[in-house]
Amino acid sequence: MRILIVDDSPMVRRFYRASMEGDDLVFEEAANGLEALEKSLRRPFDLLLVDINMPLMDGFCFMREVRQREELCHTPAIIISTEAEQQDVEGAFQAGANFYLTKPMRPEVLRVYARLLAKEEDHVGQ
Amino acid sequence: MLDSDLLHSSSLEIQELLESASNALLAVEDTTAGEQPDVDELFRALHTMKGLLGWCEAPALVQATHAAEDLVDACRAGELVLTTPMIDLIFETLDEVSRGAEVLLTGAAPGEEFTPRCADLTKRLRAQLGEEVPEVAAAAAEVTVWWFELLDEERREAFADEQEERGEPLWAGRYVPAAECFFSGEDPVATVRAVPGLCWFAVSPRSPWPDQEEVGAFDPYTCNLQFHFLTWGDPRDAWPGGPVSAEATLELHALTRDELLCTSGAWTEETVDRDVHMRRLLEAQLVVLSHAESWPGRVASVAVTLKRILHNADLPGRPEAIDEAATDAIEAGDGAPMVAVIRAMLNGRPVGLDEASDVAPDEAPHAPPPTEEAPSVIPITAAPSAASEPPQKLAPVPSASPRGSKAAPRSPSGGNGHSPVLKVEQARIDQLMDIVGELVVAKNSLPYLAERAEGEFQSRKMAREIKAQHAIINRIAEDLQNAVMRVRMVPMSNAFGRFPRMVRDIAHRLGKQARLVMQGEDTEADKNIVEGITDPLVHLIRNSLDHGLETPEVRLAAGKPAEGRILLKATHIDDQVVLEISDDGAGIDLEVVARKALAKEMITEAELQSMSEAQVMRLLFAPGFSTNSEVSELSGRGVGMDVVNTMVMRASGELEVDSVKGEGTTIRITLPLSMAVTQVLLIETANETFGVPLSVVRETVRVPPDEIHVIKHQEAMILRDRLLPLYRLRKVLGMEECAVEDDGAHPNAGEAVLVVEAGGQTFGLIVDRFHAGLDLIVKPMQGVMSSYPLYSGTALLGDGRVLLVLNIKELLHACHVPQDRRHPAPSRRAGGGRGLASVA
Repeated sequence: MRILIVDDSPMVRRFYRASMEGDDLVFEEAANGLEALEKSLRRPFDLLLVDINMPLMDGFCFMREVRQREELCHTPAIIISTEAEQQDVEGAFQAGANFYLTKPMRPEVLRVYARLLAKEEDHVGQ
Repeated sequence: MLDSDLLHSSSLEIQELLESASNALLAVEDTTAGEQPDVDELFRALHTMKGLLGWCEAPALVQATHAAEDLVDACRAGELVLTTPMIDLIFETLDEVSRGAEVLLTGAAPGEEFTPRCADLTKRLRAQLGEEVPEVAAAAAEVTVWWFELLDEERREAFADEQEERGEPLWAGRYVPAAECFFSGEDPVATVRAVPGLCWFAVSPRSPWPDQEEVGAFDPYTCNLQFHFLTWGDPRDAWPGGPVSAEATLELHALTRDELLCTSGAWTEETVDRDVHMRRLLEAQLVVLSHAESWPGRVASVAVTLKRILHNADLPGRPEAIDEAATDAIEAGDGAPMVAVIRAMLNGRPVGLDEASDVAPDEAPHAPPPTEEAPSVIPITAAPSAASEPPQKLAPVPSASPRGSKAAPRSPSGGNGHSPVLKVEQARIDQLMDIVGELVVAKNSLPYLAERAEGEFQSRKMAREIKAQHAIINRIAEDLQNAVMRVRMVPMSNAFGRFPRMVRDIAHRLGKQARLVMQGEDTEADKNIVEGITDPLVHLIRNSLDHGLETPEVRLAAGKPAEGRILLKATHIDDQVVLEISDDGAGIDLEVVARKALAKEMITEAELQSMSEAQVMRLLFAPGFSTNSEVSELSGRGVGMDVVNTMVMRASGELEVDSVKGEGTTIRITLPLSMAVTQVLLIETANETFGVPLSVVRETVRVPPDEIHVIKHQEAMILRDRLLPLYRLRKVLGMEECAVEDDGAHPNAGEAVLVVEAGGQTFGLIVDRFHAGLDLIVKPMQGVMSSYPLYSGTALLGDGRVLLVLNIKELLHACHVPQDRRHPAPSRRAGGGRGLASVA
C-alpha cells in the first residue's frame, strides 16, 4: 500500500514513517498541498495523511482538490493536525477528509488506523 | 516518549523554526505603520513548533507557544495589531523554546524547570489577547507531571473519597527549600511536617544524586531536596514557619476530583484497541456524509474506507453491497444507503443483507446523523508513551522535492532536494583534517630525504627519484587538502544569523534606533574561522551600538537620520575573507583616545607628539584601554578592544580600525579562508630558524651595507624611491649577543632584507639568511607560550624540528617601541623570544 504523507515538517513526516514502519508500506512525502497534488496526479496513492497548516496549499484546499478529481476522489484521507478546535474538525470533514487525528498521537494509534485502512489486497498487520 | 534520536532531530528542526520565526518577527516589526504585516510565515513557524514540542513532551512550552500562536493568529485575522510589547513577548517565548530545544538536543525532555517561566509567559501572552488564565489551570500542568508518579492508584482513590466526604479541597504542593537552608538553621523536613492538615509527603532530589565518579564534586551542605505534599486546606493560611527564606519556592495547586482520579498523568492514555478505533472511524464516515460538497468523490472515498474496514476488521458482509449503496447514494444525492451500511457495520450486522431495516425514516440526507453520542472524533491527545515500543529503525527522510515551494524557506533536508546532502559529524571531518595535516608534514620530509640521498649516500639518481615522487605526492596532498577544506567551508551567515535580533534588542535597551544591514552573508570560510569570529563580532557590534551610534536626538541635531546604520559586510579578497563592521555614528575622537592614554600613563607627552594618527588609533587595542569612562552593561563587561583583538588574532585574523570623527567608524577584520595550511618562508637569524607567513612577505632583497642609512637613529634604505625602515630581527628578538656566523656563500652580497607588509605598513627585516618556502600546518601557541605575542604559532618541519612562526604585525609593534623605554611588555617579549628560540 502506498501512503502519501503531507506535512511541511520533515520531522513529523519522519515520525509518521517511523510509527508505521514494518507494515510493508510504501511512503511518499510531500511538504505542502501543491506538491502532494502533483505527486498524487502522477500516480494515485492508497491513503493520504494530511496536515492542515502548510505553505502554498493548505490541507483543506488539497482535500477539496482531491475530492473533485475523478481519478483521486475515492482515496481515503486522514487529516492530522495540531488544531483541536471544533471548527477545524468540522472543516476537515467538510473538505472531504475521512477522519481527523490530533498531533501528537501515539505511534501505535496511527498504526491501528493505517491497518484498518489498508488496501484489501494487502494483508497488512493481519 | 520519543527515543533520544528523534528528540535530537526534533530539536534541530525546532531550532530552524526558531530562526525563521525570529526573522519573520523582525520583518513584522519592520513593517511600516498602517500596513498589514505578513504574519503567515511567523504563524506557520509557531504552529509547527508547537506540534513538535507536543511530541517532545514539553507541555509547558506547548502552552506558551500556543498562546503566542493565538496572538499571531488574532493579528492574522485582523483582530489586533502586533505592538512592540507583544513582539517582545513573542521573542521571549522563542527564547524559552530555544532553551527547551537545547535540552532536547541532549536527548532529554524539557522538565519542570520550564514550568514557572512558561506559565508566566502564557499568562502575559493571553493577557494581550484579553484572556485570563486562571492561576490553578496554569499550575495544573506542573502538578500533574509529578503527582501520579508518587502515589499509587489506591491511595489516590482513597484521597478522592475522603475529599468528597470532607467537602474541602485537597491541596498539592511542591516545596523547594533554599539551597543554603542548612546554614540558616532551617530544617526543611520539620518545615514540611509543620504544614497544617498535612496528609502525605514525599522527598526527592532536585537534581539526580551524583553517581560514584562524581561524588567528590557533590556538596553535601547544599540542599538538593524537594518536597511534594498533600494537605487539607490551603496551607498558606496557617503555616507556622512556612517557607523560611525568600529563595525557597512553594507551589500550590488545589486538586480537583478528576485530577485525583486521572490514572495516567498529563496525557490521556490512548487505547490501541482496534475495535474502539474502528468504531470511531465508522462514526466519522457518518460525519463525512453529512456534508454535501463534492458529493460523488465524498461517497466514493467513504465507500473505499468502508470496504477496507470491512475487510481488515473481518466484519461480516459483502463488499459489493457497499459499492451498490455508494452508486445509489451518488445517483440519489442522498446518503441514506451508505448510512445504512455504516449502521450495520457499527452494530455488527452483516452488510448487504437486511439494510432496509436500518434506514430510519427520519434520516434526512446531508443532515448530521443522529448518533447516541457525539461523533467520536475526539481529538486524540495521547503522547507517544514510554510504554510504546520505540520506532527501532528509522527510515531516512528523503528530500522532498521543493518544486514550486520557493516562497517558503525550507529546512536543509527539505530544501536540498536536487543535490543529495550528507550530514556528517564535525569530529569526523576534523579527524580527516588532522590526518591531512600529518600527510602534509610527512610529505615535507621527502626533500630532506632526497638531500640525504645525495649528500650522505652519494646517490644523485636516488635523490632525483625521491624528488619526482615528492612532486606527485605533493600534488595529491594538495588536492586532498583542498577537498577537505571545501567540506569545512560554511557561509558567514552562520555567524551573522543572530545579529539582527541582537541589534534590535540592544538598540531598544539603549533607546537608540539602529538598522543592521548585512552584505555578503554567503561568503564562505572555514567553519572554525566562522565560529571563532562570532564572539569578536558580537563585541564589535555591541561597541558600535553602545559607543558608536548616537541617540536619535543627537543624530538629528547633527543632521543625520534618526536611525543609525550598521553595515556588516563580508567579501573575499584573494584567499582571505574581509569582514567590515561600519557604523555612521560619532566616530572615534583621536584626541579623546590620546588624552585617555596619557591619563592612564600608557604613553608620555613626548611620545604622543611623535605618534602618527594610526599609532594613536592602535592605542585602542592596548590592554586596559576603554574610551567609555563607566563600564556599561553592554559593551563594557571589562571586555575592551584589546580582548576583541586577541580573539580575532586567535582566529588567525587581523583587526584594523578606520574612523572619521562625526562620520563613523569602520572596523576591518581580515581572516584567512582556512586555518589549515599556511605558506611559510623560512629565515635564519642568530643560528635559529624562524618562519614568516608568506602572505606578509612582499619581496626579499640583498642590500650592500653602504646602502643602509641611519636616519634619526633608525636604519633605513631606499627601495624603488621609497624610504623603507629597517629593523634587525636579532635585535628585535633580543639575540644581539649571539655570534654572527659568517655567511660564506655570499661574502659580498650584503644584508639579507625581508620586505614585509603588515597593518598597512611596509618595512624591512634584516635577517641572516633566507631558506625555502614551505606549506605547513601552523598550530597556535598553547599554554604558557601563548603569552608571547611575537609568535603566531608553531609548525612541525619535515625533519622533525619545531619551527616558530613570527607574527609580523606584533613584531612591527615591538619595533616601534623604543628599546630603552622602561616598559614591561617589549622587554618581556624580547626575553621570551630568546628563551623560545633556544627551545626551538
